[in-house]
Amino acid sequence: MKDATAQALLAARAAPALAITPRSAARELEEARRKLLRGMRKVAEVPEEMLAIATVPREEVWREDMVRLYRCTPVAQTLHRTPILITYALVGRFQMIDLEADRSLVRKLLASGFDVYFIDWGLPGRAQRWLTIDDYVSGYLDECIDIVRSRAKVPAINVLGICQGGVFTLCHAALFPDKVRNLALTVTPIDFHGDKKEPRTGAGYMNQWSRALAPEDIDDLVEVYGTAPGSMVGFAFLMMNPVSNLTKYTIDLVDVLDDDAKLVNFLRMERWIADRPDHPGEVVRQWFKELYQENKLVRNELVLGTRKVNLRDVRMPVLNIYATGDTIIPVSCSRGVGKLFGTDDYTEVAVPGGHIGTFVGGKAQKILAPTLAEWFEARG
Amino acid sequence: MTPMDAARGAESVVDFWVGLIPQFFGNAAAGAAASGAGKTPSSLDGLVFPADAIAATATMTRQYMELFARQFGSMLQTAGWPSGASESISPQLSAWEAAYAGGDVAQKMLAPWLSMMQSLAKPGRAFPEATLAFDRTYGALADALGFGPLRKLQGAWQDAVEAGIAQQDARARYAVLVQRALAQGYERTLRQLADKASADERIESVLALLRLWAVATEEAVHEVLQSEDGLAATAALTRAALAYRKKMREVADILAGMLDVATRSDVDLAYKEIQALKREVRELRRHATRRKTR
Repeated sequence: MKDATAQALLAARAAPALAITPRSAARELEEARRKLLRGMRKVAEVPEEMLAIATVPREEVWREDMVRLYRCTPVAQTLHRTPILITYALVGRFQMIDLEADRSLVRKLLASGFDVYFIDWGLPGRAQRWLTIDDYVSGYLDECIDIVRSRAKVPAINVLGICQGGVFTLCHAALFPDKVRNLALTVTPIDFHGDKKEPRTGAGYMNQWSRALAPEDIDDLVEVYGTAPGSMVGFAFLMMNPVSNLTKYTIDLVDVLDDDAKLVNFLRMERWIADRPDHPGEVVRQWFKELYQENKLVRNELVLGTRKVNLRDVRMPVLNIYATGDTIIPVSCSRGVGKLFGTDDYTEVAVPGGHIGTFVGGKAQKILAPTLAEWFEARG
Repeated sequence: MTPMDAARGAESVVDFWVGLIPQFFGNAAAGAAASGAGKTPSSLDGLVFPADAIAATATMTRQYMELFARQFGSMLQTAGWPSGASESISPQLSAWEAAYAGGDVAQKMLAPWLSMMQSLAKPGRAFPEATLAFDRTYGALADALGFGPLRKLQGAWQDAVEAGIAQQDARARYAVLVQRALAQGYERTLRQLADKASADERIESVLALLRLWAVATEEAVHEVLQSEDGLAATAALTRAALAYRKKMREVADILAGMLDVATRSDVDLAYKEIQALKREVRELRRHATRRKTR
């Protein structure tokens, strides 16, 4: 009763702020309805080629199982001697690095005179259920690096890892330091318990959820699903911000559908989101148990195959880029890890925006590619 | 073999065995009477193991098969089977159903078993107790007669039902938390509006109001779900969902085993071996490359 009274009093105090009349509301909603109708018609009319993502010209240079290695067609007359290999995460497809021609990390690096390769991890199926992090790191990734080294006739190449791909490249650099000339990491979780030091509401939900589970729960997850369905991974991301994801597809859509440029951006992003690959079970097991739960990477306790990953063996220059508004990989999981590596050449750069915004956001775009190009260029 | 052939084939095999049961016990009892000469001969009426109850297992089986036939499609989908799998299996299931459809005799023989189940029936406990009694009494015999997988299936199905109930419970607890977050979001929205009113600010758009609500509610949802209670409830829900799915997979595995269909576990095991071989091949290839380079 007391609560009800308090609520009624609060509502009475709030009421004067609402200058919405039945007539204005009806008018506004009618306008929104018309915009939505017009917008939906436009969505159907957008030509398919306009929605194509990752259209940078490229050739496939190697393939094994579902993994492909591509070389982007160089655009500069003179190329830097050391090529860059980009490694994306398994939770999404590589297209994020070239989502749109005018917001493409790959195209900016090409324009800066780099020879750019990237790995497409493909769409793992039931057959890939037993792939481990080591299969990716010491198998596919190492193979790709060898191929790029051999094609470029250099002993070591530049490697750029993104998010989970950053963890893979970091592990590889520790296990095969002689093959990596410079290592750049972007929005990469390194200290998986970093969120405990700087707890932030709305960030690090995956870290907390993982720790709330017992190791056996993760085993059950792998046992039950075998290969974690992409839709489940997508749902996990949606649940990190359930309300804003609700408004994204409803009230926010009113404005998006009314603006041609925003609409095409939205549809391209949705195309990328919809293409969520399944995740090999054993990678899920290691990722959650050994990294999210036990934080083995920063303790130098992570064992891949038969070898321990010792971050002190990362002796090449390291550039670590994190996003200040990243809620998926909290800043505290990426920042301040330089002391863990065996290199004196360690640089940290913050970019504005969120996890994905790092690659497609207007402000971040102005910083990310130029920073990478400059850093790689300075180090050969 | 057409589904009809399969039905007839399975029917004849089951008919044969079910038909043998009374004969078997009749002979056994007669043999016991003959060997016990000098003692009071045991009567056929006093058989500890009534043939009618054994035959009733066939009817019980039929009932289960009917139940599963009805639920098989959606169940397999839930358990992660590829779509279309249920359609390809349903003719075989129909064959099983047909095979286990007992005649009049079986119907009559079902009566004692049903009455036992009814006598055991107590709210919330009937099924487990009845199945336990059945299992203890007829389990070994049912196994010997080839009903082992069905006994397993019965147990697995029961476990799945219990896991399903536990999942509903976990969902309800989670929903209470979300409800709490939504209530907090509403209250925060009111507070923000009250603050605006104090500052003589106005909201003139419905969409703007909805956005205000969304931001306030998202904050509340984050706070609640990231709280100790929220994380515990989410973990419990995850655990319950996994337990349910695990149990459903067990049911699907037993069914698949009965129908000679490879289970996901079988396929996984095969892929495990393939993956191990691939690793070996990769290592050998590397050795070969290194030797060539030298």
